[in-house]
Amino acid sequence: MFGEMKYKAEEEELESIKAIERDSKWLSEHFEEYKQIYEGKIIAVKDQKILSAAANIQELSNKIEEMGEDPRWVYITSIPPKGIVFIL
Amino acid sequence: MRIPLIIRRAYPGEPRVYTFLTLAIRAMRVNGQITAIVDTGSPRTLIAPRDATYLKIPFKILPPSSPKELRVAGFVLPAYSMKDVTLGFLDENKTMRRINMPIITVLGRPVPYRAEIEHLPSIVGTDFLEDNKFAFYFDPHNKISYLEDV
Repeated sequence: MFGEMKYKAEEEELESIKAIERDSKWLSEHFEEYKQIYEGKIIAVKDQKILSAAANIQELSNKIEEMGEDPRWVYITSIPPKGIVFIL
Repeated sequence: MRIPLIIRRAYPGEPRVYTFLTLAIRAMRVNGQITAIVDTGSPRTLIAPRDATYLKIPFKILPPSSPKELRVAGFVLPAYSMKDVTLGFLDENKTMRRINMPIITVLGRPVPYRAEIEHLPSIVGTDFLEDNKFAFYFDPHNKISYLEDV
């Protein structure tokens, strides 16, 4: 159904999504603190810590992979520079 | 059954809050997750260029969307159709719920490139809400937001 790619097992995927939601909640609680440090960066959060940050996603993905993590299963978001607000 | 959403600020200079949903994605040659803003102003669910990059979405095998370009947040972006997508998300009991979307739009980067595009979020649009019969509750004052079956 999904071609040749091997997908994460359902139980493993469930645990990953739970962990990513915890990391997303953690960032929501610490946004004020980290916005100062990471303004203008793309950031990766894992286990309720900032795992890495970079100016663009390719650089961040490379850093995460060098740390032995899979960026597809890490909470990745951005803290835009002050002055940018997207009206979607 | 409710699907809890996360409310937080998204921009350093903007005091207002936004509401986010984490989604597991399965499609042809794609498996990973995104955290998207729920946006009732968007008729389409969109995967942002940043998220498409770390998901390693194979643009070369995706057909162009109709129309081929979309205007999002002031950017004109190439748009592609990713078909037969399964999305998973946690309900209030922390159980994974899965739904199928026939098409999700994936956004490419603009030409010429603009660095601000890295900050554009993925979006859960009204197609997701309407096709799967979800109501959307958003109380920014009390920081409560969720989807609910109707």
